[in-house]
Amino acid sequence: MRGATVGQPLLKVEGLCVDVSIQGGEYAALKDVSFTVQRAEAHGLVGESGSGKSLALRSLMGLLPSNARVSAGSAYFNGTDLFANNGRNFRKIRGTGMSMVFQEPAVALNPIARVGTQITDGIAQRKGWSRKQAREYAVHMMQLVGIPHPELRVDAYPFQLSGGMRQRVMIAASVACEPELILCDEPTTALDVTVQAQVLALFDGLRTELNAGILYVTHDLAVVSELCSTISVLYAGQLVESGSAAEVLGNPREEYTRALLAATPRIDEPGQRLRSIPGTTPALRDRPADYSFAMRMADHAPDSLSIPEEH
Amino acid sequence: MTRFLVRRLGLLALVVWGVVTATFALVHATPGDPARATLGDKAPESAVQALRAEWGLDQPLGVQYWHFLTDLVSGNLGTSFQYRSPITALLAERLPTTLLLMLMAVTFAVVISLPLATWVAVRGRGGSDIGVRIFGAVAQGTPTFLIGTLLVIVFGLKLHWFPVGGYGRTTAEHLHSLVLPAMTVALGIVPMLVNSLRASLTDALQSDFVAFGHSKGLKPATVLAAYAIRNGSISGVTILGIQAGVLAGGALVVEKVFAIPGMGSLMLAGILGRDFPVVQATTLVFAGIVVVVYLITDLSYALLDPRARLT
Repeated sequence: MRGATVGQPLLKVEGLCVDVSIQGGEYAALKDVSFTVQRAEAHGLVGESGSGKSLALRSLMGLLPSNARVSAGSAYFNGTDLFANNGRNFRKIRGTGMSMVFQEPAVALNPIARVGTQITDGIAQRKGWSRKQAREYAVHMMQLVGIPHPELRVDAYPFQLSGGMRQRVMIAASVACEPELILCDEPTTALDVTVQAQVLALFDGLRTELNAGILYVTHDLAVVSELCSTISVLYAGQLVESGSAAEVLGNPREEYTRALLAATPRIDEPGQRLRSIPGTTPALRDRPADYSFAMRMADHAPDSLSIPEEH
Repeated sequence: MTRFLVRRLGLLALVVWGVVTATFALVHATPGDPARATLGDKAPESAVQALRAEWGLDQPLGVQYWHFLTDLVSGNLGTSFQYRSPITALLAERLPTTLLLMLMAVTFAVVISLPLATWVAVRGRGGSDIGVRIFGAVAQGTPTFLIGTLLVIVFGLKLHWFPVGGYGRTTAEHLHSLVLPAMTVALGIVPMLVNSLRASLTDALQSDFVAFGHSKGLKPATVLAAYAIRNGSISGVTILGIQAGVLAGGALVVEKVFAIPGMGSLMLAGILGRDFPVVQATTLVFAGIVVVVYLITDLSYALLDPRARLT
């Protein structure tokens, strides 16, 4: 069995702070973010663009861009301190422990390597497989993620496949080593809705079959409600609300979560105007240190959420 | 692929014809009489006229051009005025030397540039980056003959590691005496090569596909080689191809500086002695080398990047 310790969460993030330096200035992009992911549980990390959700994922993989750094907080994967040991712990955990599915398979797959190779290079290196063994396993994995005729596509290059197929290749590559935790960075954004539903079903299948935890970053509440059992809502680098999906989505306590929910198009209210949250999250450099959603609403008070009722 | 090759070879023939015609025109527009140059100032006019008739220089220019072209097509490059021997024989003797010089120069350039560019790209902005940029600017601004002379002074006259000129007799001596000339030519193209490689490697290192390679738990060296360098070096091949002309020009000057009996020194001797057929033939061969290098560049581009194979 997998080296699981009973009672210990798969991933425990506590007080995570990430600073980003832009043109000499340091800005807090993530402030005191805490959440946990249990085995076989899908946890949704929800927020708009600029909320810092992708940065949170990258910091957990040790793949922050060179101008960002973890300034405080801790993250324990199966009890191992990820940020300790000068980043060496990441190397042991990546692939087999944690893996990541990126947002855009068009840029996250190596453009000049065959897809079969990209699915198995991690596990083949670890197990010292021959080319033939790796190829067979690649075909098997492609079958698992629902790529038709994998034996014809295993030698293809990413540019020869459609967006949906590329994302399946990326997922196959991420789960090739049967990781215990899969980090997903908006993996369905680039896909059309039908393919999106298939990919979500695929993740759900992997969760139950591999007993894997999933940390799913997205701005799409519909996706979250379908896949995730627990949710954390991020706004401008701060955690505004977290809890079970039913609780947060059904009875949101925070104004921001309510606004986010109100902005989700609903099929049971046809003919309604699409609602949006006024304004955007300001860029890191332009927001005060204690920035909150209330400040954004105050800035945009006149053109507020609802249509004026006097008419 | 076949159509591509046929088209390129046709284009190659066209370029070579253009170069040959331009050279013919230039050579005949240059003041100075080859017969007079060969026989000396004191020779009687009748002897000079006889020699001009023997070489066909008394005929109208159009007729001379026609003879030149028809001879060329049948593989006859004419007879050298100075050496009194068929030019094909002269070329057979000297072309291998120049090709070896250019090959060594390219090898040195790549062996210097790739590790240097990788080192700078991995380290990112800082001292090494600035140092390499300054070195590049200085090296790029220094003429080939000066670099050659400096190398001769340091490694030839002071350290006695390499001969200061000549070509030796055995293959080992040839290789040994080509080290400094080849290094001189190489240093002429290293700055541009390092700059372009550094830029494309930096891009590659910050790309999602490198992050994805790490997220699969691959060894950092594997990600660097198979993901970053393989993608980043494609631009280097383009630069090397574009620099083929610089390489040929560098070989020409360097052969003079180091007294290497190659194509370059043959061409210079031809120009100084008004040896029309030699000048025309050597120009033709240099043009041929450059055009063939362009073709090889395009072919290797397709080899490195599967996306380029379709066209």
